[in-house]
This record gives sequence, structure tokens and C-alpha cells, in this order.
Amino acid sequence: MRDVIVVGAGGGGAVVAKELAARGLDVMVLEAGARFAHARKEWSHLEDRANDLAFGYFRFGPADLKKPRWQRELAHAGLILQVAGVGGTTLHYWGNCPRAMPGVFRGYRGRDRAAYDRRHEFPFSYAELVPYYEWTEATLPVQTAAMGTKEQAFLEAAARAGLHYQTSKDITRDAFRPQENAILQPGGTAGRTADPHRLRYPQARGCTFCGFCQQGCFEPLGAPRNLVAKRSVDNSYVPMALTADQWHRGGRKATLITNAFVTRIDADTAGNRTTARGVTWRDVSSSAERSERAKVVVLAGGCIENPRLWLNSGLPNPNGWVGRGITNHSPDVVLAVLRGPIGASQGPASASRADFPGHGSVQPFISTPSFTAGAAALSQAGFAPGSPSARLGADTVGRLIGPALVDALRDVDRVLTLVVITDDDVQTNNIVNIGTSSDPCGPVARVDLDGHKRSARTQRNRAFLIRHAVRIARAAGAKSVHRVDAIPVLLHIHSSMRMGIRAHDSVLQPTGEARFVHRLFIADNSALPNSLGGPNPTLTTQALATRTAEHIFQRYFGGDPWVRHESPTPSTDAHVSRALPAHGL
Amino acid sequence: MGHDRGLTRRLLLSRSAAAVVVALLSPVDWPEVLLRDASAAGDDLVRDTVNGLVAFIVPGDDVYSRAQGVVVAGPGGVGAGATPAVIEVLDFFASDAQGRPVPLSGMVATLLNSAAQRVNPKASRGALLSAFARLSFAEKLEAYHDIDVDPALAAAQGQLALLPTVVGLITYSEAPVLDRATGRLRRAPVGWRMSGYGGPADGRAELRGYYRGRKQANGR
Repeated sequence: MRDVIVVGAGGGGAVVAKELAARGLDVMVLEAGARFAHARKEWSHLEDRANDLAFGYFRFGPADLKKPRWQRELAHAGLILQVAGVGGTTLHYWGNCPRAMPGVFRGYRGRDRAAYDRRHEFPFSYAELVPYYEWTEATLPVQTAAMGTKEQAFLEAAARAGLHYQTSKDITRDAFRPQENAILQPGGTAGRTADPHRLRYPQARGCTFCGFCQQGCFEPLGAPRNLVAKRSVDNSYVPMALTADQWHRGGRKATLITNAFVTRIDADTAGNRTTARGVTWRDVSSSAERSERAKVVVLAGGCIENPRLWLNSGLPNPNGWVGRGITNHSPDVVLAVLRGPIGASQGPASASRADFPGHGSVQPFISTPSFTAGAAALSQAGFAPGSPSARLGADTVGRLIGPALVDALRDVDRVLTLVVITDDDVQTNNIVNIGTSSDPCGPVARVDLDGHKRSARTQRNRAFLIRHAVRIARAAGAKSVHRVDAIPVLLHIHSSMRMGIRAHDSVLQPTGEARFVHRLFIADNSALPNSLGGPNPTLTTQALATRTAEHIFQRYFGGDPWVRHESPTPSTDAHVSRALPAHGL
Repeated sequence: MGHDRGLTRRLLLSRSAAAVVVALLSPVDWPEVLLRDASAAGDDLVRDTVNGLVAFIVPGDDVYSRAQGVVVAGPGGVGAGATPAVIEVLDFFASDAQGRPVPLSGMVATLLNSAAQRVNPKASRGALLSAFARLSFAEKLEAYHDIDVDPALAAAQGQLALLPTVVGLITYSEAPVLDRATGRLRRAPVGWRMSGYGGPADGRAELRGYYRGRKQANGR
């Protein structure tokens, strides 16, 4: 019997594994996707090779790329951008690590209090999470991002548009700033040359400004895995979990098993009490079924697979909130063609942003040609030029295709691409359930999130942010501005197994333990009570997962909390680097 | 478009569309009739239809762009070689209950050609094989709009809405010239040239320093 089994080696699960392995617990991590132990050989900077919707190595699918991806059902137009494999969706994230808006927490007393989704606030205060933020920020580590040309253009345009400059990690007013990113910033020759011979570690350190965060980070060449620039958990928390005996006194290295698709949470029921006892998984390669028992099970399979696994396991769902209330930041995209080049296809993937408390955020990202062309057509509003009322200050709206697309992309380095991420409401009609079809791991998940049926507040927030994005684009000297009005893209996904104050509309207690199943915790984005007010979710999920790990250790293993009493070891620690070769990394 | 004509069009479209809906959403039991439909579409017709779609999303100076009456100087999606790669993706996008890939390109072609015939019945004859490829650009917009709003297709909109995106992603990427077995490019991607993209590198000389010289945010 294990002490703890963690289901999923993504952004949240890897954090619990690392923290509890450091406490000396016997931790086993099961990951359905690939190991990606040899990133330099397995990955590429090529856009399609990495992110092709069918063939890309970053997909929700098996490690064997000759097999199709795993299926989900979508009730409405939408696109799910999740990644299976060690690192999960952090493999293709941009490392953006803003803290959540303070307004989404219990006890918030700001003047804009009514602007947030008050019915679904965090069950504790912002101040309570701050020490966990600080611990996580030091572990990854999170650093203030340096600028490329396009970031300079955005930040200067935001200033010209009348926004304030924010210098704090805490978000307090409408303001712009460089990103706080989980990316080691450029050192040595990094960011100063394109010559591959001068970009080897240690001559180059940190981010080389290649711009390919989405294809997986293996820069600078020759760096130990834990000194690769982007701090996706395959480069940070997973190496720490696997080497916990080397960098923490009393630590015990975690066990990682890949190609292991968990198909059932095994549980006992006595009277009204259901208790998790372990899990059963299917070896994706051999189809063999295996089981293991544990004192505690931690679910971190993501916002779509967690509800599927819960429901396929026949676990209780008395209030109907398993899978209910999923949020996705209702993202939208604004494409601005500028009068001159800003190096839009080069430099950091995403290194600047503007935040609007009570509404959400706007951030530019790298305009590589394939991704930009794909995003331009990803609309729920028909074909451009679209309805004037839907333009919200842009010149056109809808799918940008035909001569207009060719013309817009004629010089991709002039295309400023802005993504709008909305503070969207938890809505009872947005739900992950079980579909009508099955795959070898059981009935598949069905996602019901209708982009046309978002709450009035969500729609207002989205429109507010689009107007600001257009304003910033105009201030940057845009020749033309296009709004996509994107279909629901499930990239930032949260709150499908939400933690809450009240038992009648939440799945988790404020400790992260399930209300209806003892010894079962959830520690990924699905545990978030709401959409955080708009900021990118990974840092908050990781801070919350750290807090959940403390609760597990205290409640079931008689341990003491550590975050307020110890200093964190950064994931870049030399002890980790030295121990990695023994793990094939 | 009159109300009656629109209603009839939707009903007729629904008949052929139903197969696509079921196909896209039912990885459990693939009815044999649907698999027959998929193969009956025929490689040439599928290729011709997808060429018509690719020229619609990213026109160039090719024969399919000329057929739709909207031409852009340069290669466009067809000239970039996007069509075979789009078909490959469509045929590997879905899987059945046993995890086997299910070819969708034939059904997508059937759907587009069916919509084309409703928009312009005269499109059933012409030099190109595909009725969709024979439509004008404006008629293609109308045909695609019909697909967007057809209630019989509501359950498949999730996937159908992605088609223009798939074409855009592929045309402007290395996919048309990528050897998937080796991961190497057979030649420089046309989409990169169309967008002035210099291709990937291990790093860029793009560092412009820190905004206002500040390298660290305040803790609070």
C-alpha cells in the first residue's frame, strides 16, 4: 500500500507529489500520457509537429503518435487544448504566473466587491493564500519578464492608452506590466544571438527568446532538465519529486508510472461513508489492468477527466456538482496589423499583460504564422466583416479568411495578437458529464459549454476587455484591427470540481478533500472555486495544491505544516541537477 | 434567399448531414453504412472538394481560386500543398470505440458538396469534380453559413467549426512539407514565405531589456 497516489503528472499533481515526497511519504504518480524524458530528441520548434490537432506530440492522446488521440464529446462548438504526458498542459503553456484577483476571495472588502462572482468565491481569504503563492513563486521560480520588441510596443501602447503601470504582484487596479513568468530570464548570450553555437548552456542561461513555449521548452541546449528556461512541471516539480531524497532531509523519491490511464477510483462504502482506497488503471501500451491501494488518493487529471473518472467510478454526487460550473475565461482574440514590424513572430511567447479587476485580462502573445492563421478563423460569429454591433471598436469581426487573411498575414511580424481572458461566471448549465460513447477506458467525457449562453456579467466583461484590447491596438498604431469572437476554447479550464464554502454547490471542502468521499483530494485547476477574476490559473492552482498537500500531511499522516516555517528549495537547486541523470533525465 | 427555399435547403442538407453528425459523435459503434459512405466519396472527389475549401480559406492564383472568382497573387493554400495534409488530419482526428482512426474526409466532402448543391443547383456540373469547388466565393460563404446554422448539425458544430482553423493552421505551417517519419522538412514551407516568417531558431537577438529597468515586482 502506498501513502499517496496522485492521478496525473500535470501542473497540480506534480506539486502535491513533490511536496509530499519531500515530507518522506511514499508517493506514486500515475500519468496517462508520454514520459517525454528526452525532450531535445522528441520535440521540435515546428508548430504543426508539436500542436497539430491530430498528429501533434502535444495532444490529449497516447504516447504512441501512430494511435489517434483520445476522444471527448462536445455539445457545442469548441476546442479543447489539453496535453497528456508528464507536465500536462504546462508543457505548452507560456509560463504566465499572475496571482488571482484579490476580489474573488472570501472577505474581500474592496469598493469593487460587487464586480465579482460573489456566489462562488474562494472559501478563505486572499491573505491566507499569499504565503503559498510566495512558496510556489520561489520554488518554480517566477521572475519578472524581460522585453522583446513586441512587448515594448505593447507596454508603450498601454501607457499611451492611459493605463497605469503596475509594479506589484498583487493586482489592485486597471494596469499594465511585464508578465511574472515561470521562466528563467535571459543570462549570458541568451536573448542576444540567434547563433546556435553560442546558445549552449552555460554560455547561454535561461530564456533564449526563441518564442516556442508552445512546442515545449528544451532551451538552452545542453542545460540540465531542471535548468531549462520554462518551468513547466516536467522541468521543475517532477524532477524535484523524483529526487526528493537528494535535496530535502528525510525526503523520499516519488515513483512515476507513465502510460497509465486511471479508469476507476476504488472505494469502500460503509453506511453513508465512502472512502477512497486506491485506483485501477489501464496500461495504454499493453492494455493490461492494474490496481494499487493507498491511504490517500489525489485526483489531478484535469477539469474534464476528473469528473469523468469520478462518475465512471460510481462515486456519490448528491448535489449534482461533479463536473458542474466549469469556467474557461471565455477567451477572445484581437488581431491588429501594425504599420511597421514589431518582431511579432520572435522573442518571448508572452511577456506583457494588462489586468482589469472585476473584468479580466488582456495579453499579447507571439504571432507565429500557423497559430495566428488558425486563431483568425476560430470564430463563432460567422465570416468577417461581421455585424457592426459585434465589432466592439474593431474594423471587422468573425472568421478572417480569404484575401483578408492572406493580406493580414503578408508580414507576420506586423501582427500584434492580443488574447482576452475574461472573468467568467460559474454557471450551472456549463458542465462536464458522461457522453454516449466509449473508448477502451470507459464512457468518454462530454463537455457542455455554450459560448452563446454565457451570463450577462461574463458577456459584459468580455466586451469590456475587447474594447480595451482594441484601444491598446490603436495606440500601438494599428492599420486595421480584427476581432475573432472565438468559439469556446478550453485552454484555461477551471472549477469543474470546485472547492466552495457551501456543501450544496461544491465538490470540495476548503481543505481540498472531497465532501462525499473521504481520503480523496483534488489538486488541479478543477479544484479552483471560480475563474480567479481572469488571470492565468496555473500559479494559483499550484499554490492551492501546496496548501492541499499540507492538509493531507496534517490530517492523515500526523505531520506539521511547513510553508510558514521553512524556506523553499528552488527547483533549480544543484542537488536536483546532480541527481537527474540517475533518473534518465 | 426566401424563407421557403431556405427551409427546403436545410431539410435537404440535413439528410446528408445526419451521417456526418453521427460519425463525428459516435466513436462507439461505427455503422457500416457510414464507413461505406466515407469510402464511396472517392479520393479524387475528396481531394477536389478539400481543394475548394482550402482555396476558400487561403486563396492564391491556383485553378480552385480562379473557379471561385477570388484570386490572390501567390500560391495560397492549394499552392502551399495544404490539401493532402488537411485530409490526413481529418482522417486521423476521430477514433472508434476500439481506438481505431475513423476517416472523416469523405464525409466532410459529402457535407460540403451537399451544401453546395442546395446553394446553387447548377454547381452539380462543371470542369471540377466537386460541386463545392465549383461555387463562387460568395456562394461558398452562403453554403458554409448554412452548415453553421443547420439545426441537424448542431451536435457536430464543435468539430465542423474547426475546419477553417485546420486549413489556416496547416497552410501557414510546415505540415505540407513535413516528413512525419523523420521529423525533417522536405523543402522550405510555402506558408512561411507567404507570411514573411523566417522559420524557427534556438534563440533570437531580441532582448530589449526590462521595462523601466525594473527586474523584480514588489511582493505586494
